[in-house]
Amino acid sequence: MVKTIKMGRNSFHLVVEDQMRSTMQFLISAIVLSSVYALLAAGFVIIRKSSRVLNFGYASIAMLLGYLTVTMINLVPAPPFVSIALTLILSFIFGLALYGLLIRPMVGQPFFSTMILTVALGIVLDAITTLIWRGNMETISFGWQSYFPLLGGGRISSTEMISLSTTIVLFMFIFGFYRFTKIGQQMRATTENTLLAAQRGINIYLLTALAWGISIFVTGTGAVVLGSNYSVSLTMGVLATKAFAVTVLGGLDSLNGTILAAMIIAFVEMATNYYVSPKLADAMPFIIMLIVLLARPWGLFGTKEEIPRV
Amino acid sequence: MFRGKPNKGSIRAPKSPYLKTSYSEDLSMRAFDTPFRKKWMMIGIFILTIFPFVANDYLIHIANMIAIASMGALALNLLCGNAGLLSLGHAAFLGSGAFTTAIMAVKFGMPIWVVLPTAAFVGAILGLVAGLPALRLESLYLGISTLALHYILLFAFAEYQYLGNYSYGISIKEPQIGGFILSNNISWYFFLYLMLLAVALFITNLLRSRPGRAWIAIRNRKIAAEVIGINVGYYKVLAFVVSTSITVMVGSLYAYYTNVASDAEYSFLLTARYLAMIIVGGLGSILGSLMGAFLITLLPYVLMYFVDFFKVSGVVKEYFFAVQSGLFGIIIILFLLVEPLGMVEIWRRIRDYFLLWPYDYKSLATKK
Repeated sequence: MVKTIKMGRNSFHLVVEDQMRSTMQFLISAIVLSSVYALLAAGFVIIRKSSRVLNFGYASIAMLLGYLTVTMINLVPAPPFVSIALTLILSFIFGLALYGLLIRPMVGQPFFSTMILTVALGIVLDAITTLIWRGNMETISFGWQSYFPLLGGGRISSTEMISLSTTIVLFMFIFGFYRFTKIGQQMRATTENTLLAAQRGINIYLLTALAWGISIFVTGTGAVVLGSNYSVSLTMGVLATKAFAVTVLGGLDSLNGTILAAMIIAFVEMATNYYVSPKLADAMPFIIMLIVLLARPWGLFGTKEEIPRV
Repeated sequence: MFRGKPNKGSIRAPKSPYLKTSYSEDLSMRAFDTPFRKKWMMIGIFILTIFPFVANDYLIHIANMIAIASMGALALNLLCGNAGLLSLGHAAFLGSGAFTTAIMAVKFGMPIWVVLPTAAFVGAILGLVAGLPALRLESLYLGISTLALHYILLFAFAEYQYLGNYSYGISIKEPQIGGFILSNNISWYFFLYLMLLAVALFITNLLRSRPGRAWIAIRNRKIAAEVIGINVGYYKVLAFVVSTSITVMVGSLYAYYTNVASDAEYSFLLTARYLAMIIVGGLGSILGSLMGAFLITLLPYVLMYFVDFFKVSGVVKEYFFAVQSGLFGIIIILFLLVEPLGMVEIWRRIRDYFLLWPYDYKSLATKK
C-alpha cells in the first residue's frame, strides 16, 4: 500500500487519516473477496438446485480453469478478454462433458456415491493440473491496470472494479435467466418436483446438463476473478473450499443467500486476519459452517424442508 | 431287534456348523465356526506367520502399512458402510491419534499401554462431538459437518506444531511393551497383525450383535427401525463413538510406527484414500475393507516399482505424488461407475462360478 504522508500536520491527524485509509482498503479487499466467494458458491448452488448433487470437485475445477485461462492468454494472439471469453466457452462445454461422462451414468445410485465420485474427480483434476502446470504461481492479467482514488484516501484498481462489475452483471443475468426465460422456468420446475416436471414433457436430463454447463461457466468466471485479484496456484483450492462454507451459510439451494453469506464470511475472515491471526482466519469459515450446521442446517435462505431429518 | 436304550449321542447326525440350535450358540464369537471360514482362516494365518521369515525388510514394511490401513478402513467401513453415516473427517481423526500420542508420549512420557487406551478415549469424545450433528442432520449435511470438523482439527494440529516450534513434525520414540522395544519391522509386524486380528474379530462380532443389527436397520429403513423400537439417535452416535475411537487408536499406532506426528500428512487426500479403500473393497463388508486396504496401500509401491523398473524419468518421476493420487481418483471413479459393490462382489461372483461349476446357473435361469 503506497502511503503519501504529508509532513507538517499534527500526528493525531495522521493517525486518523491512516485509519480511514486502511478501513477503506479493508472494505474493498473484503468486498472483492466476497465477490470471489459469491461466484464460486453460485457455481455450487446451481448444480445443487438442478440435480441435488454436491459437486465437491469444484475447487479443483476452479484451479484447472484458472490455469487454463493463464495458458490461453499466453497462447491466443488476441487481447486477454478474447482469450478469457474463449476459456469460459470451453468451461461451459467442460461442464456438459462432465455431466455426460460421469454424472449421468450415476443416475439411480445412492447420492453418497455421486458425492464421492465428485471428490475423486477433484483428485484427478488436481493431479492433472499439477502434471501439466507444475504448480507454478501465475497471475491472470487483463493487460493493463490503473488505480482510482476513493473517498477517505483508499484506492481501487481497475482489476478490482472489473471483477466487481462482472460479478454483479453475472448474478443479474443468472437471476433473470431463472426468472424470465422459458428454460429457466423449466429448471425451477425441475428443482421443485423432478418427477412431475418429467411427466409434463420437460427434458430433465438436458436441463441438468445445461445446469452443469452454466455452473462450470460461473465457476470459471470465479476462477478468473480469483486469479486476477490474487493468484493462480495450487493453494487456490483452499480458497475455493472456503466458498463451500459460504454455500452452507447461505443455504445449499439458495442463490440469494449466496451473496449475503459471501459478504458475511469474507468480512469475518478479513477481520480475523487483521485483528487476531491469519491462521485462525483460515479456519474461521469452517467454524461458522459448523455453527450454522448445528443451529440452522438449511442456512440463511435455504429451503427448510430440504433437510432430511431423523 | 435292538430293544435296549437308544444311545442318544450316536443317533444324532453330525451337526451342521451353519445350524444354530440355541441362543448361546448364536451369540458365541464367530471366527472358526464354518468349514469355509476355518479353511480360509487357517490358510491366512499360515501365510501371515510364514511371511516375515521369507520376505525382506521392505516387504515387511509394506505389510505393516497394509495392516494399519486395514484397521483404518475397517473403522471407516463400520461407519459408512454398515451404519450408513458419511464421514469426511477420517484423516483428521487419524491425525488426532498421532497428536494424542505426541502429547502423551513426548510431553508426558507415557508408555504405549497408557497411550493407546487414552487415544481410544479421545476418539470416543471426538466421536461424540462428530456424532452430535448426526442427531439433527443426515447423509449430506453430516458429511459436510465432519468436513468442517476436519478443517478445524487440522487448524488445531498446525497451531500445536507451530506453538511448540516443531516445524517438521514431532518425533516419537519407539514404544516399549514390557521390556520389549518395538524397534524393527518384524516385531512391529507381529504386534500390528495381532491388533488387526483383534479389531477385525471385534467388528465382525459387533456387527452381529444388537448395535450392529440396529445400524443396518437404520441404514436400510430409518423410520421402520425407529418404529420397531431402535433408539436411532443413540445408535448413530454410538456408531461414531466406536468407529472414531478405533480410528484414533490406529492413528496413534501409525504415529508410533512412523516415529513422527506431522499435520501435513493428514490432508483431505488421506480421507479420500480411505474412502477409496472402502469403495474399491466393498461397502459394509469386512473382507471388502481388507481387500480395499490391501490394493490401495500396495498401489503406490507397485507404481514406484514400475517407475524404477522401466526407468521412467521426467514429469512422472518428478511429480510421482500427483500421478499416484490421480490414479487413486481414476480407480475410485471406475469402481463407482462399473462395479459400485466393489471387489468383494467380484470375488463373490468368482466364488459362485466355481461353486456351481460346471453348471452355469445364469444360463439355467434364463432357459425356460
